[in-house]
Amino acid sequence: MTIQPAFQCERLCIDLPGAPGVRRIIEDLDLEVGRGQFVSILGGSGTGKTTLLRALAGLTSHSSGRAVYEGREVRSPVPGMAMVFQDYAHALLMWRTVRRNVALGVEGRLRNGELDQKVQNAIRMVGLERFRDEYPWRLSGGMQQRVQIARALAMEPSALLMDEPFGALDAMTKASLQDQLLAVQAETGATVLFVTHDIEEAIYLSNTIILLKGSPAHIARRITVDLPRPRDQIVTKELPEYLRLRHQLFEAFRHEIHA
Amino acid sequence: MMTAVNAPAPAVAGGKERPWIFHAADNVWSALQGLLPLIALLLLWQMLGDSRSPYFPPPSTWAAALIDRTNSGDLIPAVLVTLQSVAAALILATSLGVGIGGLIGASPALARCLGPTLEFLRTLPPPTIVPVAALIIGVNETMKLFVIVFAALWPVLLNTTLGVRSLHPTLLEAARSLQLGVVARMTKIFLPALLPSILTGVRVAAPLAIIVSLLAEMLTLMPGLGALLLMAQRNFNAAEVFGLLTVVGSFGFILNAALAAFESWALMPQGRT
Ligand SMILES: Nc1ncnc2c1ncn2[C@@H]1O[C@H](COP(=O)(O)OP(=O)(O)OP(=O)(O)O)[C@@H](O)[C@H]1O
Ligand SMILES: [Mg+2]
Repeated sequence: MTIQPAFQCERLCIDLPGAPGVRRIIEDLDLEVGRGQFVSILGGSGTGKTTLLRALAGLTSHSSGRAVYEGREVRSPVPGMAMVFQDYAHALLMWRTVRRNVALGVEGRLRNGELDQKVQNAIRMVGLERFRDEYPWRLSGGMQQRVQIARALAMEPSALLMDEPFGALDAMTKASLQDQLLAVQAETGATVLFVTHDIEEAIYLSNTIILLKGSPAHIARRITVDLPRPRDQIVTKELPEYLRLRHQLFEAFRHEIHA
Repeated sequence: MMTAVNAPAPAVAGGKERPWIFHAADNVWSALQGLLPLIALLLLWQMLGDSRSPYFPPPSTWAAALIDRTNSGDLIPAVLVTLQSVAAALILATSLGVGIGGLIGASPALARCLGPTLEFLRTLPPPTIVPVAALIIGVNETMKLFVIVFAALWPVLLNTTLGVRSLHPTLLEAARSLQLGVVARMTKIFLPALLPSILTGVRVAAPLAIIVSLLAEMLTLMPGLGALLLMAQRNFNAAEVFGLLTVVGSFGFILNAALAAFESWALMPQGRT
């Protein structure tokens, strides 16, 4: 008996409306993601990374093939999955405090004591304890993104889907959030699908990197990252294996950059 | 347990802020400052005017006329009736406008079906509605309410429609991916997100409601400030006409200030005030 994977795509095709009619964005994509894996989806701008993630999240419907989560076909958002959007400013409710934003996904289902405890715990995991009664519009971009991550964590998801969550942040904040994310994943054991166009970020975080290419997009490469955990911003990035992967991926993208 | 690599800035949560009531007081004060030219004009009028003038009696005679009307028991009930009509109509117009506007904003199909009809109804001048409504409904409070709602509905409806259309796609997707139910999505996400648009609509609708309320009272002589004003004019009581005009002006001014204060308070958490 084999272990059931968290995510599975079989000959997945996605078409989206475009100017000349429907356009095929993703074609015949096969993918399997084991539970507890950290998988990054890497690719140039406009290849379809977001589209693939949205399909797996049940926010975009696919035209043919299968997108499966925990053995069930995904057609609409399913329990157990939480999505973190790149655009944190619009994903948060500006009229709710940090605490109440974090509670948003769970407050309907839990009793008060339990709710408070879950919310506190999620806020602790992203290090925002001191700001829990503040409104998001009074926080910095990085802090707002942490609120969104805490909101996802409060739902205790078994899968976390993140679309360039650190794309809009400065290098320092980015590094800090990467480490927090790794620690959270180690603590919760969640499966993470992480869309990024930052090669070094993908290597630093992942077990597996998937390279999307072409139009319509397919998986061009699947790279296993064998770096020890816990990872460290300085030590890990000086390991020969890290440098080899970095070289390999930049090489793979060289054509893209100059195309 | 984990902490950020870079330490967070000193906490500001729980810090003292200026309560919204100060914002409201500020608003009232700046509005009063704006009234200074009018007050100066009235003072000048008082000093230079002739108290026996049949057309331009000075403000002191207005006050006397208003006190007369108050003592005869006409003024206060009239103000209350008009206030009640305006308030009830605004509440009704807001509920209807948010409901219909929300549906139209959310559904392009519905917008196509209803759009032209609504556009036609919207351009009908409210005064022309009064006779029609009086014929069909009769001269009563229901008719008055209907006419006021008919005029006050559009700003709320249009603003809500535009508000729904400009809701950010990410907000809608976040609501979907959090798997909130229909009711939770409405009350926790859509209504608060639309609140600024709705309140703008209400601010525009309020003066319209007052105008149409007075108009209906004047055209039908149903009790209210409008009827009182028309009666004073018919009796050639210029002082009373001016006095009632001041009452109507203050009425609108206070209603607007109250709505502004409510807006400050309601939008405070959104950081919009
Ligand atoms: N809502 C949409 N409707 C129609 N086509 C879309 C839509 N969103 C994206 N597309 C198209 O799908 C393709 C893939 O877009 P997608 O957003 O998935 O790219 P991406 O890999 O996430 O790019 P980026 O790194 O810039 O975010 C693009 O060519 C785009 O034109
Ligand atoms: Mg994208």
